Amino acid sequence: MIRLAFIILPLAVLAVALLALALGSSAIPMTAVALWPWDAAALSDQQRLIIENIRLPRMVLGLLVGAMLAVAGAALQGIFRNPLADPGLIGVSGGAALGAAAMIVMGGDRFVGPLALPLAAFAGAVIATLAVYGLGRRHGMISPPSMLLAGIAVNALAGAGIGVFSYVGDDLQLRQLTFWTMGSLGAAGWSTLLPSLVPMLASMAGLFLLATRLDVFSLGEREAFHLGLNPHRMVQLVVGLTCLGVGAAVAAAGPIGFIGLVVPHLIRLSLGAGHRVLLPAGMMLGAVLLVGADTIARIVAAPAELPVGLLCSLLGAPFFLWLLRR
Amino acid sequence: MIEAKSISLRIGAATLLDDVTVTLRPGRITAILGPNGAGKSSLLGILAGERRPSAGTVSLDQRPLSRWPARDLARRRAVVPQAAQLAFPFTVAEVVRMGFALTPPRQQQRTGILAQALAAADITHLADRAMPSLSGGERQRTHFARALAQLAANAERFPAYLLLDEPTASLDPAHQHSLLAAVRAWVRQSGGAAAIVLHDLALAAHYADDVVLLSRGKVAAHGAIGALRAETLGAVYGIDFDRVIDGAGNAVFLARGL
Repeated sequence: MIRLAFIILPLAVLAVALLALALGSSAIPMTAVALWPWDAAALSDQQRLIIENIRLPRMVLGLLVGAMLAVAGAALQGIFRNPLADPGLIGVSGGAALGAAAMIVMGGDRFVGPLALPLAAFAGAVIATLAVYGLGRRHGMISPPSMLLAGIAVNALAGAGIGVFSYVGDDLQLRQLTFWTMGSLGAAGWSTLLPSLVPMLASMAGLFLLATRLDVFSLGEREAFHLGLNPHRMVQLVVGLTCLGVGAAVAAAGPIGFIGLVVPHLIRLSLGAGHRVLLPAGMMLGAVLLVGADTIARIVAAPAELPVGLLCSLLGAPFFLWLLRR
Repeated sequence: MIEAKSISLRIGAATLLDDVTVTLRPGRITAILGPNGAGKSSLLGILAGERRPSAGTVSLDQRPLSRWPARDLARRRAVVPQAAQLAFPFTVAEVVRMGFALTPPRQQQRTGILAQALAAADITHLADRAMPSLSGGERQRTHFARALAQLAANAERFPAYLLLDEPTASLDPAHQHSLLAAVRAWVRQSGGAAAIVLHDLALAAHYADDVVLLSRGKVAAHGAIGALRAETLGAVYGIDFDRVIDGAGNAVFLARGL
């Protein structure tokens, strides 16, 4: 079963990547797309432009963000020992949204290039996570249950802050803010992709190295200590790495829900709970789902497109309900 | 040797342990006895290094437990918890393997260690079952097997310590005995030491060499279990005990009832 999954999932990543490059408001023949890396002449100049400058960076960003959200969701569920945990819980998405709102409304005409918005969102994510982490400490020791409560409080505060910015913003800013919070890969280009690529890859690599320790942690903090783990350090590492990776993901694509929640669930149901399988399998499934959803979002209402975060919630919420009721 | 010297544990206004001195010697099984709330689990937590005493010192081989890195400590002592809540549906074999996940033995030893630990806890037939599908007693035996696997993986030149918190609480009588017999076999074979929090005085008399009797956080008796007197037990538990000789020739204590 596991061996089969590790054959199917990489093939699915390849297939969905190919589809994402070929499909869109201007369809390009699949065979030509498949040949293009080896034979540049397979495509016309215009087609090559569309693929190289628009669809390829968007597809790569989709793969990375989907993978990152799934891996971070699995790791946080391991730390909180709760299958309902989600990257939003430690304040990353709420903080990023507040940062983005602040930049959209207060930045105004002083926008300093295309990176201003992602940078503000990333800063918001980091500050909110630090706040959750700081408030979640009891007697100098980090305690996951207090962190959960702190996360709820910080998210509520961020929500209120976003409300304030929405209230003072003008119509255009409000519209921009609303679209940002729906999550979209539409802003992807090489210039926004490259800065977010490094933190996401670093975060995933770091979390992969913690897979065995996440297994042990699921026995409980005390038991993990008995088996040779420093639980305090472990929480710091996982929270820090997810903040880095998810912060970068949200900064580049806005908040995208349900991937981080549903993907680890699906993998646990089909392949078991061990994190050395869960993390890599989740990474691939998350990438497939997000790029697949984004491709659908681009073609259902072509030439307009749906925000992919909206589509993920539309499909993810009923699916998750079905999963729970099974 | 694990030595706790004059330890106290205070949380807020409550004193859970008061001037307790306990020694765990290699080759011996120590039963930790006492009424509910006497501080048995607190003492075990301190001996395991997971709680620090408010006063006094705990050391393993003359080195304070607080100065042992978690990884090194895991090679020398294992803990069987009263009840561990597993967050995800791992299988029994996966949980037992977690015993040595962070302190791995050589690759070719792993299968043997796993098989031995499963057999000692009598859960070989459950190896591929998911933990949530097991009964409380079967889960308890799984955690016992995990602790055995942890120590087997690190059977080295130094004696190891096995700490068990009410390991027989959800077991049927046959498995209560087979688990404690497995603890005794481990102690005899490895030359390590075990400390077991128990409520059943007959089981304690059967398997333990030494006893620590706690009463409201204080040591009421500490020494060879054969030297324990019915009067001491009576004073601690508040009911009368008779010392009788069972069919196997062991001295056991029977509560007289109210």
